[in-house]
Amino acid sequence: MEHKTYQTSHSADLIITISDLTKIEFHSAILKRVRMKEIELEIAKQLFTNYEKDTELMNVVEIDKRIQNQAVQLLNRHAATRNFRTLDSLQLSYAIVSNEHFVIDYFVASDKSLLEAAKLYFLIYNPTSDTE
Amino acid sequence: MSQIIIDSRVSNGHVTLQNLPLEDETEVKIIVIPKANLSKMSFQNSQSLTRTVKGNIADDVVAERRNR
Repeated sequence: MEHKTYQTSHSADLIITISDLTKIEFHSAILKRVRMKEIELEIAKQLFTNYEKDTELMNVVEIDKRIQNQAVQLLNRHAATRNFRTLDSLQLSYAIVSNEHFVIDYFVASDKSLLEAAKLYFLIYNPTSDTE
Repeated sequence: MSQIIIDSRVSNGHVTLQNLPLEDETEVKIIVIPKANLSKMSFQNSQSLTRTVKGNIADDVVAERRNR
């Protein structure tokens, strides 16, 4: 596939690609804090509203057969030798399949195990460690 | 297959593409991807709402992945 880009990437030209799985993980993490009584339910609802609003300005990728098949291939390649599990395979698979359509400059995550596998395919960035 | 990525802006629900290097009457499929506008996003508000939370919520997501 020939791929032409007429502008280079910089902060004013930022595209954030995320998986639809991220929403599920986000809700689960926030509601855990509600169970722990660290966040009130009303605050959690505001956070979910913020998430919906923010993702209107993101490239949200929905799971399909190609992503599922790629995830299985990733598990077959990595899961026998490293701590690489179901959700890791799915998150990385979304990125690999998306990258075939629209180039991903950086794979961003704070999950070190996931990043270890992702760096075989992408430049990586961990915002919580501030190192690439 | 030629893939062209070009910048534009939505105006009243419409997008105009200019100077496309394709012949007239070429049929195309258009995928619209929004650019992130960090100033319009609610990261600061969400950070403020979770100020009382201990630790990093991202670590909870990681822990749940590892515990499955």
